[in-house]
Amino acid sequence: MLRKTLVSISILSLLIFFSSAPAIAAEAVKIGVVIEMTGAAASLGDYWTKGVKFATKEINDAGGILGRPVEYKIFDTQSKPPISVSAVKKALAWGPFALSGPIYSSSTLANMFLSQEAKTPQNVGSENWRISTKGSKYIWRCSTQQGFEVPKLLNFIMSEKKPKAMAMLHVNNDYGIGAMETTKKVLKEKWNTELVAVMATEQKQADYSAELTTVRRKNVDALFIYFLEEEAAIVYRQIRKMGLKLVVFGPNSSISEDSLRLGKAAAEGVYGMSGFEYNAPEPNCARISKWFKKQYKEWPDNEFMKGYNSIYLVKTGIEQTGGFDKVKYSQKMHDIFITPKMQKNICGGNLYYDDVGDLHLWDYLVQVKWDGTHAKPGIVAALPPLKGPDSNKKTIWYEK
Amino acid sequence: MKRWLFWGVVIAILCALPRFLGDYTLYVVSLTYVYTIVAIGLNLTLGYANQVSLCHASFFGIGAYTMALLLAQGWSFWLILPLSGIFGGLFGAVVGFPALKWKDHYLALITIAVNIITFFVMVQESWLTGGPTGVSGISRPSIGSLSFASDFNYYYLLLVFCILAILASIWIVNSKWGRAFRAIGLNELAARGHGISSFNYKLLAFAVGAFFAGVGGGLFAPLLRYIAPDAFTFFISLEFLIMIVIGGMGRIEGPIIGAIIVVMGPEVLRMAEAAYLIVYSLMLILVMLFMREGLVIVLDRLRKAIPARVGSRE
Amino acid sequence: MADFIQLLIGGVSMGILYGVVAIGFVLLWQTSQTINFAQGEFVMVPMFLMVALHIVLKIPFWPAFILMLVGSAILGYLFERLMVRKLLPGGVLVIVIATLGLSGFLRYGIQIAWTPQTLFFPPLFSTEPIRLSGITFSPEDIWNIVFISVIIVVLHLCIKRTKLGMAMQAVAQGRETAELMGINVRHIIILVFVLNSVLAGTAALFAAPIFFVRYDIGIFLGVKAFVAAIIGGFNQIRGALVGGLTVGLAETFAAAYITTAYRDAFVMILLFIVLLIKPEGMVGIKEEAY
Repeated sequence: MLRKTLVSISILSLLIFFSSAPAIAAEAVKIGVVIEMTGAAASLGDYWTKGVKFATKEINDAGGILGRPVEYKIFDTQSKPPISVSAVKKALAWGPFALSGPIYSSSTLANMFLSQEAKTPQNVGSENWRISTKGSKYIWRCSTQQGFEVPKLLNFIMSEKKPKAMAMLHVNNDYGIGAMETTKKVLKEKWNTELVAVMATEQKQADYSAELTTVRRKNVDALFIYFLEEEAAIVYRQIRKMGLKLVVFGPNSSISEDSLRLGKAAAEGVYGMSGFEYNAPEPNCARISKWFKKQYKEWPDNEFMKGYNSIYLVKTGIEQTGGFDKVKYSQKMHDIFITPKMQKNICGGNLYYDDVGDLHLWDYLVQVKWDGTHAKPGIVAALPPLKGPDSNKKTIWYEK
Repeated sequence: MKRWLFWGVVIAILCALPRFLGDYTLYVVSLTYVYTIVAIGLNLTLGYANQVSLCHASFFGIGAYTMALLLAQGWSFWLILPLSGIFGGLFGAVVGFPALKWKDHYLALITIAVNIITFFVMVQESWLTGGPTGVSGISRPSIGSLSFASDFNYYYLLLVFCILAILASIWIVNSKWGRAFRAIGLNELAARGHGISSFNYKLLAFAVGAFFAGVGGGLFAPLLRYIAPDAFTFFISLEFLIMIVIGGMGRIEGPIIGAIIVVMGPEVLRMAEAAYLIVYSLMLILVMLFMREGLVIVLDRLRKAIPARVGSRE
Repeated sequence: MADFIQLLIGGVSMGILYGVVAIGFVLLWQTSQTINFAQGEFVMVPMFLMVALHIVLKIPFWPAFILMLVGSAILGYLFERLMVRKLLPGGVLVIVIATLGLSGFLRYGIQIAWTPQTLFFPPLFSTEPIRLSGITFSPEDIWNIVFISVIIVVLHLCIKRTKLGMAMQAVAQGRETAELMGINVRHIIILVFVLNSVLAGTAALFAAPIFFVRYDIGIFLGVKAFVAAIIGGFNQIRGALVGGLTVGLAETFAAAYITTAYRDAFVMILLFIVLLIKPEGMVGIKEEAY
């Protein structure tokens, strides 16, 4: 027994020794990546960390940030809010300059007060509108939040497609319910109309005949789908199987690479909107997507670009501040207009961050094309941001 | 005498601990205390009375939501905390009714169903629960001028409640209730033969177990300062189960060891992401296959190996 | 009416899948009192196996399918040999806990060893819509229902008519008696475990194009199938089938006519109602054990 105990103790101490003795260069810019490595959002977290990895390598190859190398470390949130709190605490204890992630809004809402207290910039992938109402000066979004995304998308659908009856299907979590609330509000205030049907669905639901028969019964001609990737693909298949003819549109997840890869031909004709598309007429997105395609044999999801940008944002902030003062960084990074001139590698063209850290950029309106083997996002138009210097610009049409 | 000395030293160490711990480690230890309280509850229900509960996360959640929602109404923490426990316990007693009729796998599935339904209510009834984005800005309590707002001070509050929970469980286990729980757990028919009303005691086993979980939830909400339905899914119930199974079912030390391993293990080992989930799942299988008493028997053997007995058994 | 039939098709095509997984549950319980909480993972693992063989290694469909069934059979065999045989004497609770562990082990194992991403699996049948007086359906739905029904009927006949099937029934009714009748109980039990995982593998083939291949689908399918088995009747093969159809139809119709927001909760409420009114299940037979 004693011998066994001794053996196990020595194994344990070996493990601890090897795991907790990283060789950290003293002057590295540390970035804690608090992200969904396991759980429901694991595949999104996977794209995100690949983006982080690539950006870090690129920055370090080019001489780092103000001469210091970037170092990142991953902290798993397991896609659960309480774990995300401990992950952020763990990340903060490591002494990072900034945090990157998480993606799930419920996780961000749970842990954002920590980065606020620690005065540490946190670049999140979440899109729920509530995050911007919490008054943190240390949160930056890596994509358009729902409060601006939904109105933009509805602008297009209402003015171009002029639907007579619109319905919405949304996933039954913070992501879907947040969008549903915004949609109802925007339709009422701006268009003085209502959804004819709103239906919540479950993750992993595979049969949508109940929802779609309702859609058919109510003669819906425009269907707003606010789903995660897999469910979006499943519902496209089913819309096709039921032979429904209507305008289907959704957020970036509905036209992201994962939904197209799974939806295939069924995704044809779906409208969606995203700030980052691998085939958008924007050189940086195209460049890093090509790298991804070469590396992993498939096109990236937009979480890859978001993760990539989360690192470049830190670089921009530090360079603009001219040093490593987080408070000055926070002041500098609000109400800032980041152009490719200022940061040549950052994705998405002109990025404007307002006073609550919401991102405003040109989003691409996309319609899915099917070429017989692959579903591809076809760029229809570039929609200007709703706030910032570019907000008075006109929609750029690529095809009409 | 030695026994008291030993526990005195342990408590002294735990009291001194925050001075040496970083912000993050302090949080992990605090979380371990909360989970220990819940696991103690599950141990009473499952470990002693042999009634499977895979919905302890529901009881835990009811306690947490009670705390979060009533705090927002301006109630005092000290008034709500017992209410958290009572609401959890009452709900536990209701869930206990199916246990009168079903056991083992039936009960396991029924309690999974309960957990799924309560999760839906938390997500859907946003007028009450704040919906899927949950409740944020939960405050921490104070007594007079002593505030528990800092992580440092809140640690001591949790430590006190954790010790109270352990003492309460020792008391319950050695009381008439505890003996009845064990009797039902071992052999229901025989217990009935000895005049133990399995009807009352089964409900009681659920209610008491759920009470602990509710109190744990009441302490959990201010620790996190934010709660959302995702914190109370069936998978969290599974985690509580893993804790008491690995630690040792039907032993006072079981849930303590289990909570320490499940909450702190990944931190100590710093294994590759997600690998620890595999390790815990594997541990469930291995413990069931080779060491059904749980890791607590390692402790027992150590005690035997050390001639001067320092520890104590329940 | 058109809507009703549409919903019927949707509900039945889901329900029959739940049913076939539930049959495995029932077989294991009848012959060896084993409750497999990893049943959903026994569907998930063959899904990945099929992708590995058919799509990654580009093995033609039929050989790949047979290899996948062989893989499933091995999984079932190992499950019996390495786990259940040692755990059975400890009682049902021990098996419940250990199979919960097994479910996590397989789930996270696939995630780490392969991918957290959802993978595509091509549809087995055409998904082009066919219109028939107001109803629109696809060959996929119909063929899925037909093929799975045929499999279940064949299975039913095998159990009722063949010698091996009768031996299985005998074991289910009582081990000692079966042994006295000269049946090798050991072999029969192994056979049932293999049969269960082959059945789950077959279900995986039909489920893969519909659910897609994802590492965390097992829990979802497993719980649905378990609920189906209890609702239908735990000691009857046709109970599992009736239960599966009930669950599939209940969630579809409740979502269409009540609310979609509580879709998964309805099934659980239905479970409570059945347990209260007819605890042995809709077509089950009363047992002494509880």
